Amino acid sequence: MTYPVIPSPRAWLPGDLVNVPTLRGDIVNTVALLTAPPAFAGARRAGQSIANGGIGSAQEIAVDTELLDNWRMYQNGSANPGQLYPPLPGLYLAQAYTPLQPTSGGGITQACIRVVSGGGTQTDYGGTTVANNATYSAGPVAARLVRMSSVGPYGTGDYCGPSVGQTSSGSVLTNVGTKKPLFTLKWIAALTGYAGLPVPSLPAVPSPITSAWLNSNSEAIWFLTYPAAGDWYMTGTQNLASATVLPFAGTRIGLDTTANDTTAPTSLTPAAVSAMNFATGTFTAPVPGRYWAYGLLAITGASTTLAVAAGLTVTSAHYNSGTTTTLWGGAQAASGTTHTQAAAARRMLRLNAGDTVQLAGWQRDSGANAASVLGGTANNQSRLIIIWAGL
Amino acid sequence: MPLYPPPPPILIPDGYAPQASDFTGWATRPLGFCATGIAFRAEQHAPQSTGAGGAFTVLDYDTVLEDPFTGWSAANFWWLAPYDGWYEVLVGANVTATAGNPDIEAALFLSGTQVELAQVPTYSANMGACSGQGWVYAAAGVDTIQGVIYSSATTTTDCSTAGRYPYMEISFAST
Repeated sequence: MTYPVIPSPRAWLPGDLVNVPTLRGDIVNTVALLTAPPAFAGARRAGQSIANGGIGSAQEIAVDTELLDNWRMYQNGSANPGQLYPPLPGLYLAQAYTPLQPTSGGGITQACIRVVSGGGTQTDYGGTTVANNATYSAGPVAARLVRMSSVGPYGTGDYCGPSVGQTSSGSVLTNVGTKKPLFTLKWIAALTGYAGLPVPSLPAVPSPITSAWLNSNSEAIWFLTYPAAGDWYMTGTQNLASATVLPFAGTRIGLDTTANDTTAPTSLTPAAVSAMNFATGTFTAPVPGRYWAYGLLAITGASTTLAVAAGLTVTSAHYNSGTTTTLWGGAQAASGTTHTQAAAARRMLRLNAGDTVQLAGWQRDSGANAASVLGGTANNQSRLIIIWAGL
Repeated sequence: MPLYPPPPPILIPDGYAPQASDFTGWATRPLGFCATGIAFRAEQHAPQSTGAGGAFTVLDYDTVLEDPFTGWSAANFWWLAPYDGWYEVLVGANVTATAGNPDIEAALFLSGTQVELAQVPTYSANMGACSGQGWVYAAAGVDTIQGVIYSSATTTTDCSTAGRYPYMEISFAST
């Protein structure tokens, strides 16, 4: 089987000969890539002992079941079955669910995405934290837009996978059965391209074929393989006041740092303007469509912290008749410890061009104490990920 | 933009003089599918009681926001996959403030088979929200997808404001 490559469609001129290899290279390759991109869906079915290494010392989950692996990113029985090696450079969306079995040992559990990017240092990017419980499973989640630039055969180059950290008094098994850990990974975008393109118009085919029509296909290919996508997080400081009631619109989190951003200027489109405005902490949809969105709020924990929630504050005619509202996706009891408290919201949003999204947070403290929003370290980064996903 | 089905592998033969109409199948329709995909989004605007532990409760979504391939059954509260493929499913299970800090889970049923997506404890004085995602392979016209919730104590889904509606969102991920 020949796998698709990153498309590089040509610009057509009047009189160009439309030959079969070019059509295959442009359109056939692109459609094959976009309808079956490098993707993985897998699970850990057998209970795996997770040591109480603490937050910031996550342990790799040894994936033992592949559900989808159309590009052979995974090898069961390898030394590190929790490491997936993407075959194609690009931005990948990684998502994990890492439930542990009930434990009376207290503490918290945090889902993470383990990444080596650009041949760099292995890093665990934290997701939500959930208080451990003697009766119920702790089921945190994590997501990350991962840059995979150093790729090669399986076992070489960049990789990513699920990991989990926990702080109970002893080891805890990953959960099993219908509550098993899950991990998905999907190619989203090329590493560079044309930022700021309009959505494809795909006009009807003229007769005879014109260079303008062929170029409309090329522009569609550029757009679809480099869609608007970004991953922004906070490294500064911000206090989050305590509030007893979950508000209609949550406190905006001051994102200030870019991890990845396909809407930012590139060498091909130096005049492009990022969809993220750090001054206002606001993402503005550059084009209409469905946007996959994930917001993670991480705050300092205290014995007096009662509850925490993350949300996506949306201003769009598609929601609440256009009145700004926060879509709360995570509102959970805190652990009552000094560990990080993190909650997430994840939605597929329908947005018009110009609609806005912000990361929002809320916390409740029995002593009305403010919490500090976290962002400085990889396992505690409050972040917002947004990806254009279709018209 | 019109709706397009997932394209089969495109075969452009050698030594063939194509007509303009050939390009519709080679380019416009497959690229159109890549631009639009398959999506379903629904919310629940009327509160619903959940069971107390043991069983999962199918979320009775009552407001379909988009369903261009008309897979939704309001009678069964499931979405029928229109084409074979892998689908990403987001489920948000939100409940009102409930005494005892009940534990809640967001999950999906794939043709009745349970796949859990996230699990959190709630705080008794505030809404609880649990949201997760998973990928499932669904066969066209056969497999159904439902959003479900588990709560360790009897409670009610929170539909008090636009930002709290329980939801299910589905999108095509791969052939």
